[in-house]
Amino acid sequence: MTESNVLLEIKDLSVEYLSDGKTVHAVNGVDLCLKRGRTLGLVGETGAGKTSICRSILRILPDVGAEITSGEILMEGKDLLHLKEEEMQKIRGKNISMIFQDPMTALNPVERVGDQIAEVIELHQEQGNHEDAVRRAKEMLEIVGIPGERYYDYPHQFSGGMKQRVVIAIALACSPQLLLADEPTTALDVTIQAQVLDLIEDLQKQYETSMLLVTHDMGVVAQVCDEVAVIYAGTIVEYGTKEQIFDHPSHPYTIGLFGAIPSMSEDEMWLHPIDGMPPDPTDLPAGCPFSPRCPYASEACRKDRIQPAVTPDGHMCRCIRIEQSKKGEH
Amino acid sequence: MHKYIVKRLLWMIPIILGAAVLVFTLMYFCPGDPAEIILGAGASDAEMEHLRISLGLNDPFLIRLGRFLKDTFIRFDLGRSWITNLSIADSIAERLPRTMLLAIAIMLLSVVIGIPLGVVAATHQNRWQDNLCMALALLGVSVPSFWLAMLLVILFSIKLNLLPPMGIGGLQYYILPALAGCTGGIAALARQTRSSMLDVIRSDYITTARSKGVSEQKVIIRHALKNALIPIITIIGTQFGRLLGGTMILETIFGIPGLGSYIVTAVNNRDYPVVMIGSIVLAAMFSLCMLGVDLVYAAVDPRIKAQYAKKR
Amino acid sequence: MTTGTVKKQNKVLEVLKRMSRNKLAMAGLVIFTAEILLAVLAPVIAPYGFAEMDYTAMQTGPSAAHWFGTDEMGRDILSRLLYGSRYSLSVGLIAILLNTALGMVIGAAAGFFGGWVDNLIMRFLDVIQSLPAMLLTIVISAVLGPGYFNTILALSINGIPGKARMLRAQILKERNAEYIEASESINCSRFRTIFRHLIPNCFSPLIVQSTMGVATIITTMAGLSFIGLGVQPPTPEWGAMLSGSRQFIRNSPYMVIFPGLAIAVTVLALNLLGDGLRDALDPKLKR
Repeated sequence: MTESNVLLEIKDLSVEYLSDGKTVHAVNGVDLCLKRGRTLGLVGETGAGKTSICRSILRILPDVGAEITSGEILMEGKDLLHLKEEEMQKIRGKNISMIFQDPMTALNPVERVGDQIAEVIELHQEQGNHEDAVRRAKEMLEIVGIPGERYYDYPHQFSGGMKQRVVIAIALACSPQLLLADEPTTALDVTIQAQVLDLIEDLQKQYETSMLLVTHDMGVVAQVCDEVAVIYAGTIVEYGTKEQIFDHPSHPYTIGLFGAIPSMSEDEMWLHPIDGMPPDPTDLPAGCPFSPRCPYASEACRKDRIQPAVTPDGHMCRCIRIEQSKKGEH
Repeated sequence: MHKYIVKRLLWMIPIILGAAVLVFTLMYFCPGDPAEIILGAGASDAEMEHLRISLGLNDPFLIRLGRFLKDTFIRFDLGRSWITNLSIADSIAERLPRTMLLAIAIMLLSVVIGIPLGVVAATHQNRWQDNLCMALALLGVSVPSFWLAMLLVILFSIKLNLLPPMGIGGLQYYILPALAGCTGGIAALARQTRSSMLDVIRSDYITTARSKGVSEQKVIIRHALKNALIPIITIIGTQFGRLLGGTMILETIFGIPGLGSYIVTAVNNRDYPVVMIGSIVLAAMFSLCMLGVDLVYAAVDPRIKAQYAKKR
Repeated sequence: MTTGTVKKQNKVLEVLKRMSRNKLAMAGLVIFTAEILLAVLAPVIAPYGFAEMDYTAMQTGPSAAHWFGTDEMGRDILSRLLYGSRYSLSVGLIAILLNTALGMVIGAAAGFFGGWVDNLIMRFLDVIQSLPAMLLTIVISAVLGPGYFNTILALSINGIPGKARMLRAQILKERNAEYIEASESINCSRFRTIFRHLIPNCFSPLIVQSTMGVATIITTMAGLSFIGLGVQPPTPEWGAMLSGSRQFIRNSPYMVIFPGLAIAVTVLALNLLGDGLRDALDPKLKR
């Protein structure tokens, strides 16, 4: 892999929120790397910091109390965190765009859906006038499978799946290099989920867009992603290609995640939920954040921050047992 | 939509009739003999009795009420003032524009100052700008308009000699009354704007707008404020109603011969026909204003428009 | 039952604790309490009687003998303000109690009986609210004539529709709530269940509305006396004092400033208190 092949690189990103006088450690030293045209899945429970990472990339964290405390976000080698706000505005929607979790609330209820698509086009088009933007917005509607004449309708006249298509049209209207998809199908009916996911995948291939897909659904990961990062309490605990993660899950949390998926092939009576609750983000354990719930946790796990290790098949895993089992083999 | 407007206009009829009955009944119980009020204390008993019979003042309550409603709403005869014997309709036609001018000036000032204050407060939540705006709003609700009116006269008319202290003439005569009357509206609008902006600013669609690369200023005005507008419009409506009452005091202080001071003078002189007709006109104006508010809702929010269209 | 009482006490304590952390609300409370004390103790504190004339100092500005100056008849303005606070505060408090009681009875009748009773009451409230509040107060006050209790009556009409509507809305909400069905299924009286849930739910908005309502009533009362209705001279009512000072505005602006300041400070204190109460009673609203 050559350096120029990398589109986005996140180094040691940390995000904190201030809430009721307490500091919430939402993201703690996350490293990620996304290559052109590829899809990286970011998997974890609600509150694990997935959305915070996406919003940090676009720098649209809530303005009160949220702060990026350390790290770099390099887009083609340029650190987004050091750009001026005006420069960032030129990147948002054009080079990087985002699909949100809840289509019911993601669209402005008092603006025509078409105008909402045309707005992003008009902001970023180098030439052309409003009429061109409107024409292009109608094209985008057709592309996501909505008749162009519905340009003049309002969001309340659309179903959830249709709204998510509009959101996708907004996100892809300027053919961005990077698409951040924050649980794009979670809020939709199961039958619609597959359609929307297929649509995103098709368009992503068509526009050669890289995608950071946030999800908690291993099935979605299996369908769409090339690489997978598993995040727990703001820390990446396991990171590799989809095959590596699916064939050799090494972190106890990842293994637990797979245990929580119903399997059709095996004749199992029960799902295996992970015991316990995610840790309080205002008061994270000193050592491995998963240690309170981990069946294998030892004294060493609870003491210091766990350093990343490399598993036998070559992917990253932040678990003390990787090194231990290596030593055991030697 | 048209059906909705017609329906709302028709609905105003019973409300205004109700207001007429209410005011008529209240005035019926007012102490004092109308004949004496009209003729003055020096009139003889025979003269007074004659007048009572000719005005129908000796008839029972329901007959008088019926006659009043018939005269007012069917024959459109608004009657004459007991004191000046001038046609009430003419007087109101002459005075109403002044009251409207004052009310609109106050409303414009309230909107132009109040909404931006609220927006600044919401976008700088818990910072000094927010505290300053809310302190101003608090001051605005606390200072009574008639007191502020007098303070403004002391400063601008007596000390600085810049503006006329009372009377009518050019537009400059309306500056002090409008300034004195706008504080309550500014305060109410600033507070409502702040709180509904704070609700809206956290919405997902605001994040969507930001993620599209829309500049912060446009996010606030085009996306957030437009969505925050519904409760703000409600406040504008209720403030307008309060204002119609408030002009009664402002017009009295500043000697503006408008509808408000007309009614106040009539109350003090026991000129009951004027009080009744004046009140009905105010009620009609207020009802029209509330209808206007509902129509603005529909213009601002397509969901409400759809609702209106559905209701037949 | 005992646990319920304890819980309620804790809640009240919690609200008071939150209130006490709000400096502005506490300032409002302190000012208002101080004003009530001053009003009660006016005969003891006031340097002069409210009708006592000082022929040696007629219409003089603030001085050591007369801190706030004297009016055109040589009456001490400070003393008149102190006595005047008795009218303003007592009228405000009694009128608010009256209109809360009336509003609740009307709203409860509409909510409980429903049907045509509800319809009739609501249409009547529509009619009342179609008239500007100030106009209605002026007309009623003209009908009733001047005087202390008549003024209270005229002023208490204003808040009634708002309170009645709020109570009715709460009752309708409670009537359809699921727990009513649940409590009926275990044979609890529907009426009692609604009532026991209603009181706490209505309490917060009522107390906030009433606090601010006192402020509105005090301003309206001053406005009423200002245009010659309501309490009559020589009663030292704040609005009437302001009204009387109008003709001397050119030479004696202090006669205008002090009575207005008294009204403004009282209203400000009540608004601070009301804001603080709202935040303390419903912390969700505060951001």
